[in-house]
Amino acid sequence: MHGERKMHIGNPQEFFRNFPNLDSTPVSFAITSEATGQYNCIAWAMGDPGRWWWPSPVSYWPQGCPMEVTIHSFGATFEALGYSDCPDGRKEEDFEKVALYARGDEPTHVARQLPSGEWTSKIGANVDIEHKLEDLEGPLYGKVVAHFRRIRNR
Amino acid sequence: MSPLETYTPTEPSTSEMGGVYCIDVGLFEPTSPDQDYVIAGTSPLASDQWYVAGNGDNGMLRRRFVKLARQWEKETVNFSSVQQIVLNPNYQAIIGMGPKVIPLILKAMEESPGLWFWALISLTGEDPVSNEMRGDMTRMTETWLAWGKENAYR
Repeated sequence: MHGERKMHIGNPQEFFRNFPNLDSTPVSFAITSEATGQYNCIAWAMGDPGRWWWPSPVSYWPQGCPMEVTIHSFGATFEALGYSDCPDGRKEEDFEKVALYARGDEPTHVARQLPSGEWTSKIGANVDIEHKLEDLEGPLYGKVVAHFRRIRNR
Repeated sequence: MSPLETYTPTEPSTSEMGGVYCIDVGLFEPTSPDQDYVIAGTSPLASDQWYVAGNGDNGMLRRRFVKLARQWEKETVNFSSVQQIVLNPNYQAIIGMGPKVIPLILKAMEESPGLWFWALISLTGEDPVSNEMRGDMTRMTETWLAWGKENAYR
């Protein structure tokens, strides 16, 4: 699925230590941007690659949404943004989906499904990648704990 | 100033990386009493300006700051969570160094935006960033740099 790109992961040793499922042969993921600290995973998932989204005093978070870093509060934020929860990450033609990763009750990451059914993620202040959902499960992000969907804009 | 030793990283070459956090570089022990640590690479902490150092309190302060900041970048490059990023022990140690690191933080921000805002708020007791700027790393950085100038930190 992936062509070769001349892009580089920032701090590759840390990257593959954080995401051991990506450290495989043949390589199953694609790097789709240079590393940048201008935006993060949830900003990328929400289509806003100009800001760092997170519930904190030093980042953007939608007005009126809960500021707690919990699975429940992230779910409430997605609902405010037009999503509803759904059972899994299977591709559905009319919907765009996001997947929430967490360790315990603490959200760590959000990935967005592409029309192809693959997933795209911004990795912190590192690169964007296309990947499979399970690729990012591991010591840093924990596991996928919820999926959400909304009608896809055409 | 003493001659500088530079470090040529092996693969992947950091010189090809354009990202904010692409640091995979060496921190060298001084080879003479009046030479400070030398870093190289594309990190904002690796520019020539950081090479200017020496003995005494300022040199020690800078050396400790650079070491902690580089380790912080390395350990948190793949995080989206602001809380995980700022609770990193290296970041907390920088805050613990007190207000004398404010000029070093502002200098690091000047070279490349990073999530230094939390530390600056902690160290200064101020926050010049308006709500509508939150998450916009460029505008937040510009605002803090202007604040630093107004308050004679730069």
